[in-house]
Amino acid sequence: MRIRRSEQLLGLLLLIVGALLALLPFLSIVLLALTPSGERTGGGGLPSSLTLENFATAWTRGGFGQALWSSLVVAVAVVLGASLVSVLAGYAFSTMRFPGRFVLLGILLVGLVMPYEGIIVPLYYLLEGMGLLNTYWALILPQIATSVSLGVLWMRTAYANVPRSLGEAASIDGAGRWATLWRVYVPVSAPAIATLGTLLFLYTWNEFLMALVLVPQNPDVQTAPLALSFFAGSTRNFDPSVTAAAAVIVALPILVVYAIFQRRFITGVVAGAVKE
Amino acid sequence: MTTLSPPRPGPARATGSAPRRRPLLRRYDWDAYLYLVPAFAFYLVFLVRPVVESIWIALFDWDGITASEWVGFDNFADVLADPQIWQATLHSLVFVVFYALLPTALALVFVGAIARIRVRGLAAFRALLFVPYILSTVVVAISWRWIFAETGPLNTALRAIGLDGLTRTWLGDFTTALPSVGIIGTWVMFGLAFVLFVSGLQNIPAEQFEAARLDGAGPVREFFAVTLPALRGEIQVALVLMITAALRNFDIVWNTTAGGPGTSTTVPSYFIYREAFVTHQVGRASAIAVVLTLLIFAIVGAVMWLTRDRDAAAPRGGTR
Amino acid sequence: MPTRRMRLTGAAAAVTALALGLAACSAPGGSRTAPSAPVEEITAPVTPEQVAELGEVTLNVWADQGEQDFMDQLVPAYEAEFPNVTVDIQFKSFNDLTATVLNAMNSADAPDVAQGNQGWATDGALVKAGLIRPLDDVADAYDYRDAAGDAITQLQWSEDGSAFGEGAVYGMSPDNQMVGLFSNREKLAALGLGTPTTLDELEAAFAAAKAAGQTPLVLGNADKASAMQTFSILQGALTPAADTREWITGAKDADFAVDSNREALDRFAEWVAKGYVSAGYDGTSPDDAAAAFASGEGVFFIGGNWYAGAISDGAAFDFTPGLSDGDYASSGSFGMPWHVSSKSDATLAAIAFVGMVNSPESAELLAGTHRVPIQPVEAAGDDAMFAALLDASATQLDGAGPLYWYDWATDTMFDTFTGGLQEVLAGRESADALLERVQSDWVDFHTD
Repeated sequence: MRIRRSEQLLGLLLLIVGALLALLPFLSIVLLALTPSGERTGGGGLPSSLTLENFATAWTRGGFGQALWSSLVVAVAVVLGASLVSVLAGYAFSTMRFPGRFVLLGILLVGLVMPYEGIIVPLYYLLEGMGLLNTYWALILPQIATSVSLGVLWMRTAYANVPRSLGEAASIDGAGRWATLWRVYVPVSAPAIATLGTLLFLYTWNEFLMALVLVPQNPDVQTAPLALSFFAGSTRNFDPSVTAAAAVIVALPILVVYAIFQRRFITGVVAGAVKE
Repeated sequence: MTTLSPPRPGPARATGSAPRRRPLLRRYDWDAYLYLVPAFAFYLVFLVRPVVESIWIALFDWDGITASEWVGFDNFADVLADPQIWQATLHSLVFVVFYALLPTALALVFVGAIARIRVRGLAAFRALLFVPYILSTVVVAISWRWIFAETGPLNTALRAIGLDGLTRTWLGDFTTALPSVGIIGTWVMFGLAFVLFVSGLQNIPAEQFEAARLDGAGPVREFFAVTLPALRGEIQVALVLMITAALRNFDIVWNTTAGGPGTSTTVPSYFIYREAFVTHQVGRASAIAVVLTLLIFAIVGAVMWLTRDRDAAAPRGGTR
Repeated sequence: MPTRRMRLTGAAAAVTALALGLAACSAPGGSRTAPSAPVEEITAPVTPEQVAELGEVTLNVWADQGEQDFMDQLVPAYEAEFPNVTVDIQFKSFNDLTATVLNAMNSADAPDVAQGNQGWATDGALVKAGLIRPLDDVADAYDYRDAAGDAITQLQWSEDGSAFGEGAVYGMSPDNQMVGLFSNREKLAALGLGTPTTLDELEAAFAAAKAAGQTPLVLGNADKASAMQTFSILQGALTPAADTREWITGAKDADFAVDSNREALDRFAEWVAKGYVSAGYDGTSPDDAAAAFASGEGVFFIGGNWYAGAISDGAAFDFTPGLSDGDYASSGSFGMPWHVSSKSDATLAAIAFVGMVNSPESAELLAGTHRVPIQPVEAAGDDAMFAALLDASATQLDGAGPLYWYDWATDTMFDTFTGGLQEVLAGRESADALLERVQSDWVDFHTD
């Protein structure tokens, strides 16, 4: 089983070039952000000195502290809410027999490919009628709804991997359905729930269109991507170094989380994708 | 949505194979609905209802504020007769090439190159290549705005190697704006395709490669004989995800070119946003949204049919 | 049990469909007509005592970011005079503001005071939806009507928003804005030229600058609007200003597709083709372009007088109004008008704010930020650039007057005009094709 050395090298080389290309655009704005404002290197060379001043400027002018907090609030609420309802509904689909099972499952499947663009207009007027525009709820409630399809199907598969005997043992011990769910199914599926949570966190954190449409007026609840978009689109802040610093500020938290949980991220995206 | 499911550890489920005899009504678990109510409450109110309402609003001439006027299917006729919408749809199809076909092809090349070799640190490479996909699209857009800027790294690099004639403001130029935005999509989506294919690769039994090699297959033949067929499911999934992303593309266009210069990078979702929330033609915006949704469903359906598992005879469903 | 199951699922589906159908079965927006609260008329400027009766209130204000320097001085003055009011002001870029102000004013927590934009897309829509209060009484009480003169028609709308230029005053803006020609004196002198005043002189100066290896005209059009403003200098020189204004305000049977406009478009495209316009203009922001011009790049920059903040050195640069061919017509109008929300629960405080912004007393504050007040001010002193702005404004108002802005013409004209102009300049579309599209946008809008 000999593989030629040249083939080994070629494969490795390809991966190295690919990794460089994947990182270059982001690294170049990190560099730009560290470049003293006004000095333009054109990305061709290193700046004469490095500065953190652009970060300070972007932070104070763009209100990114509040924006990152808002992103966190929304993402955590969506992850908790969507996980909870999925844990419950997935349990029903996985372990119970009831009329309308397949129809309901089919209705859920539609949500997997439904583009947000298709619902965003009525969603705006629905939330306006509820008086929820420009509040956290305007971002949390619809995103729980758009996470339900993936979440329920995900949990249904996860529970299917729970050995039946465990559940049956619990019910012989006199545990009802509800207790069995929390004592047996949820603990055994904890890793799957954690991966689901990571995945939903990523998608919610990065969502842009919903924020743009549903909370345009209230800077106090605007999420980081929206704040960044407004900041970069505003001619008052046309200094590219400051804009770059703002982009790095917004990207950093998710990169740190990714660095810690990258395996869960990747398996989550792969499994989540394959589920579709 | 596909026949592909992750290999499940643990015992296979035995639903239905050992029916327990119970009285008729008790064969159903009626309390199941209680477990379903929370999820479906969200789903019906914030997803299904808006879908239906989209169609409903599309039947009106409405500015979003004052009273509306019933116009039947006029908005749809208007949208379908609008050359600007057709142009935007054409741009979306170009994005399908950049967001779906190109990343798939590139990722297959990568996977083909590493299928036979043992790469030390593959996990690390996988993590690095996946970074573009986890970044917020706004961050991605701002990064690439800088790359493509008049004084940005791309032009600097071109000048450095004496290609001054090629420099331009890439996103502000009629001929290069569309492919430039497309390249951003390729960059984002490549990581997703790669990660999916590598995971598929790891599910291919080593014996298949060995058997191919015993037959004297070189890397190219091995790729077409073993790797490619084995990745059919992953390719299908990748295409569905990336084509959907290409057709929906709003974030990156909005934050790089906003449709310009002229109308050279407009996409349907750009018009949905603009007409619904800026120029206040809400009925028309909804009509575009409905058409876009149908288009996405149609194309996704077509892709799934074209890449279906032709060998799998049994229809799925059954006990799932 | 296939039949039983089918019946049950069928019933479930039917119930769902019914629920959804009921949810959707009312015409959108029907019950949404804005309540027309009785308007409290004022007869004299609002006093602190009147406002004090409101108790502690917060006044929510939406303003264009170009107002920031002015507001930094005005807001403290306002809060000092009306101590029970806290002003919470949000600044937005022009595009963000005009894109979102209508929905914002329609929302439950609408700002009390907001800037709009003259023309059908913003102010017309605000009036039509009943979202802003008529300000006739305010204009009288604050001596605004006389200061504004005939040009006040640009702030007038019929009550249902169907006619522009007649009816009540719905907004007030304190300054006059216009597109003019910034020129680099030193470079012109080096070319042996003075500041051009006719189209022929301008084109001759372009040719001379080009021959001398200079960039004749610096343009940044990433906002899409800047090329349209530049175009107005040309168009104003070739087409009578009154015709253009009639077309913009929606006079019956007005037509933009005329020979003189075709010629203006062709000549602009020729400027680009001859290399008179800075490279990469569609990807350059106007602020970057103005900054580059101020730091010595190029010979001319065509833009609004609001760039005088960036191009402020009156010794090095000159600002002149449109060309004498067209009696100094170019795009221009009063600044973005200030409106009072008809939903405000602090109407008197809001009126006091808008009144103060537009009062004779605030004119000096405004002048201090290099803007041209409508209310009379003392002479410019030794600030040569500001003197040039005042001169240019007076010259235009005494001449053919401002052209207004092409994008006021319909709610979609901004996109139609700016996108099409980019195509024409890039040589991808003929002037005829653009004129036809622009005119059919206009006809569509006015036949609805």
